[in-house]
Amino acid sequence: MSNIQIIVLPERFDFYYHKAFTSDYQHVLSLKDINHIILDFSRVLYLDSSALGMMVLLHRKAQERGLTTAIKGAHGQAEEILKVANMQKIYIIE
Amino acid sequence: MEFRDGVIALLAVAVGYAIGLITFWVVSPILSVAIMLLWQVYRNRQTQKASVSTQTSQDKAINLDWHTHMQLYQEAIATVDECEANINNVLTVQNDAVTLLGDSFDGLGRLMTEQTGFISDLVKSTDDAEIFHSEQMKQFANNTSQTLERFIQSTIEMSASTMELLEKVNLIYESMPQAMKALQDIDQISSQTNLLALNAAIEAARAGEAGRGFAVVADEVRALSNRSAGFSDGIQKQLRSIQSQIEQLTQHVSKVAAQDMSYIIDAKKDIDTALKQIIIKAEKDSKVIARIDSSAHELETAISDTIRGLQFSDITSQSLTYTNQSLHHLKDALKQVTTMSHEEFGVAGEAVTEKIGQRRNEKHNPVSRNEITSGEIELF
Repeated sequence: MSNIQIIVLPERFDFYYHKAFTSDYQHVLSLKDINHIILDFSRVLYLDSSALGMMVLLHRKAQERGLTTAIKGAHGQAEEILKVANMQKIYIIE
Repeated sequence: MEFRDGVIALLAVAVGYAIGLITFWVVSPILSVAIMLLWQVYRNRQTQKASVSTQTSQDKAINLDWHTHMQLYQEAIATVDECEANINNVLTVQNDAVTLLGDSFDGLGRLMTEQTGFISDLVKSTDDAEIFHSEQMKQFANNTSQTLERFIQSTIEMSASTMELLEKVNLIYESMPQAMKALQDIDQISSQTNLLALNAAIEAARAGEAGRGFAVVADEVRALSNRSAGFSDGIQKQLRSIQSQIEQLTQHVSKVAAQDMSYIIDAKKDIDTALKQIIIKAEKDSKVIARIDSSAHELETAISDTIRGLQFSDITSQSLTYTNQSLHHLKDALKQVTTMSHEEFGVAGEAVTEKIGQRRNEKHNPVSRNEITSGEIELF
């Protein structure tokens, strides 16, 4: 089993995606022997504050388990929002 | 005529010759002296006559000359008078101009100092004199930027907390169907109990008098089963209400947690641009202000130099006054001369000339040209 897990995000990463996201990351966190979680933003065109909240939440939970978190493929407005929200402080930009 | 006559004649000649010889010796010096004296007298008279005539013509010429001289002196006096008046005019005009210029420059200097004060008042903030307005603007800009960042951070934090809350509420919501299923099981049990109680009642009726007591028990069991069905109904209603409230809560939470971030991005961009412009403007302002300040100081120095330069008018005034005094003296001397006749001038003229020379030698111009150049003042 790979020790890196990738969560692929949809075009609109917002409040209505929270159930799917929660189940995704709960699944990932339940796996053993992982140390790195990557959020794949390559499809994301829009994200709102709840998405950022979910990312913070995921980071907290990952940190509790000693995991590192990263972002990849962010572009356009999504990238700008992540920058303004200072997500680079808690997520490694890949 | 006879021989005797010849001898007498010869004797007469000899005597005559002798007499003539003696006379010549005696008379000729006397005669020559007399002739010489006569000539001398004549010459003397001639020269006397000539000298008298030249004397009178010379006197006439000198008088004519003297008159011309007098006229010249009068003209000179008039010219000197005019010069004096002109110099006085120049002095007055110069003094007026210098006073006016001095006052104007004093005023200008005062205004400059005031302006410098105003400028520094303008650029310094009202409450804290030490911090410049531009610096304060910069601080304000940075504070605004930080506040916006904090606002974004707290929005995200709030979203995170809300999402966590939602997650927990969802756990409750997801456990709801299990509870409902349990209650439905209870419902089933109570309906079966009810049926059992009904059967027991029928059997009791069939037993007649002996089953009477049993019928009472069966009724009680039915009543209990109905009550438990009622409780289950109530709990299910409550659960459904909780379910719908959780759904409502989710709706509300979505409104709170799901904020559109794009307007914040735009706002942050706008604020950043504005702040950059403010900072650039503030820096530019402070540079301009520094330049205004230094040029004001330069201007002040220039004005004070100019005022200092004006003080050289004193020197020209002194020079002009001295010149005027010299002219006055000359005029007096000339006037004195005009009252004299030719003969008087012959006696006193030398003294007048001497006096002028003496004054010139005694009293020098109080200002030398070197003094001005050594002052090294750039007037304009």
